[in-house]
Amino acid sequence: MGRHVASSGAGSASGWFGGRWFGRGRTRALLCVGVLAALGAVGTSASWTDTASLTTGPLTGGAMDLQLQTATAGVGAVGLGTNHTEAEIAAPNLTPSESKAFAFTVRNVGNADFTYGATVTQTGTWTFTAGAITVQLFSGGAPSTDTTYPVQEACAGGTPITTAVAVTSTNTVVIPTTRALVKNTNDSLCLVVAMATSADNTNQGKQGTLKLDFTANQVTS
Amino acid sequence: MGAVIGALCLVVAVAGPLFGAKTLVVRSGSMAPAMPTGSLAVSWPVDAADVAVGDVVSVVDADGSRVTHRVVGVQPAEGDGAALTLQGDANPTPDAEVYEVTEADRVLVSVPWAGRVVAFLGTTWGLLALGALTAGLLGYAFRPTRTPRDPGGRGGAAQGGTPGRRASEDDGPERDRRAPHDARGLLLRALGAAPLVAALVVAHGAAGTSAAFADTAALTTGAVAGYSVVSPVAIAAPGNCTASNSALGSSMTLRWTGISPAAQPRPQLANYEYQLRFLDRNNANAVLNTIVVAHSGLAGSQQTYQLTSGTIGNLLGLNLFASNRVTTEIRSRLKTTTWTGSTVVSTNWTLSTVLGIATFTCNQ
Repeated sequence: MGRHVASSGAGSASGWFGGRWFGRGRTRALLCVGVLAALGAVGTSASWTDTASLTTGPLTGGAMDLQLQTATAGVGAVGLGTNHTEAEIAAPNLTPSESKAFAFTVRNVGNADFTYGATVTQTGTWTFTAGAITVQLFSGGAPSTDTTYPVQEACAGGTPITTAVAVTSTNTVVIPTTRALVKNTNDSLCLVVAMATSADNTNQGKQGTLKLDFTANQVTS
Repeated sequence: MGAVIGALCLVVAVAGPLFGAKTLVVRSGSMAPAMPTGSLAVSWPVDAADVAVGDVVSVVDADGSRVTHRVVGVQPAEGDGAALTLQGDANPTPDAEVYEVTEADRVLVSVPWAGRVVAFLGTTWGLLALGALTAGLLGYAFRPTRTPRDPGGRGGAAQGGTPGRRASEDDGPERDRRAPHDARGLLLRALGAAPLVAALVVAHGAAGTSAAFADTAALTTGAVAGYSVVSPVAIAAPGNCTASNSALGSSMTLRWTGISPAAQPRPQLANYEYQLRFLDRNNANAVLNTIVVAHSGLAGSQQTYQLTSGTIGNLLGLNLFASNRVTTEIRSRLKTTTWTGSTVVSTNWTLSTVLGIATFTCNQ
């Protein structure tokens, strides 16, 4: 009859290995396919006793988008690598020690948690002297309103993320430790733009524009 | 042939980890479409010097996470190292971190979906399935061979062994006429099972790797501008200066138009003062003194300052009997700062003694 019968240990599976198609050569090939898959399993011997040790973590796909929301210009920076302009974040007629405060929101839109950081730099034509303009970011906090000279607005109740940093022609970090933002949540921030007390006389009538660059990286584990 | 494949599996299972080859499960989608989420990539270590733009490499970032992206820039670094700039195919910008490496794992091939299979095998159900498969395959590979009656062969044990051995080695009544010869058979079976054993023994995991998403967004503000300090306005001569000289004492009054600041929130009159600076024209305009004078009256109203022969000696250290030539510069100044108005009201005058009388002369 020539039928193979597998014995002890594989009793009822004998039927699978019966028949000419599952000859020895093909069988061994099938063995190897299974082996290659098994190569991926970490600590296989350990896994028999510790089924909690997953190695690869979750597989995630989907999309991730950091968006910005400001008071007047609304939601912006929709989509990857896009930008947002809020003309209301402005400080005309600054004198030394004056400051203006503004609230805005960083939004995590999509399926992925991320952490984000930010830097500030000069943009456009910048004619102030070095160190004349500083910015400081706060977590939370409501911008106070000051309508009389000297205008010194602050982010009332906010937690400083850094000390005030001078705005230069290179990117200066304003969020030194990246902030975590779970998917579909927002982070309320408050920005204070100030002129340094030491800003000298040549800064009269000068101007410039600030650019805050936000970078988000997906959290994958 | 099967045995050859079995042997090959053994080589791959052992040599791979030995030489540093890795299997990587792609856990997120920033290398799509080339390596979508769930792909299984096979990497081989290469020296940093051999990494070229366009390669897909896997490196460990500063946080200890594994990142697999395409090389977009290579710069030599210290020693034999290189500084790699990577970018996910689906990301708009390169990774923020430049990776300094002495070697990198270059991806040779990747198979979509295979990573999901491997990930499944790491789960509880996957391990149970793998265990069942392994047990089945081992059992098959090591099934006792049924040989024709042969006192010298392995099958002889089935005949002459103890009852216990017989039971474990051969339950079936049938004989396998194609059972291999003793040693060769054993070797072939061992090779068949060896890959499984290798897989069990080699604790070599498929590392998860991130082709993590990234996004950037820039917030541009409106204009930030410095204030311009409001300046006083000069009065045309002779209105800017009046001298009154007599034997009983002489004086001179300087006049100028006061400032008119803009409305709140700009600085108001109370936030301003005038700075008067006296320069000696006989001495290369050396500063004799600088004084501060408050604004008086309404915005834009005329301001005055009087010098007398009695006080000018103390104020400016002048010798009344000399021929003194002075310039007075009048500026507005923002209190508590060093900021002054850009327009200077400047008045020249002289002081000397004429016929025994201290005499001021305006605009000379």
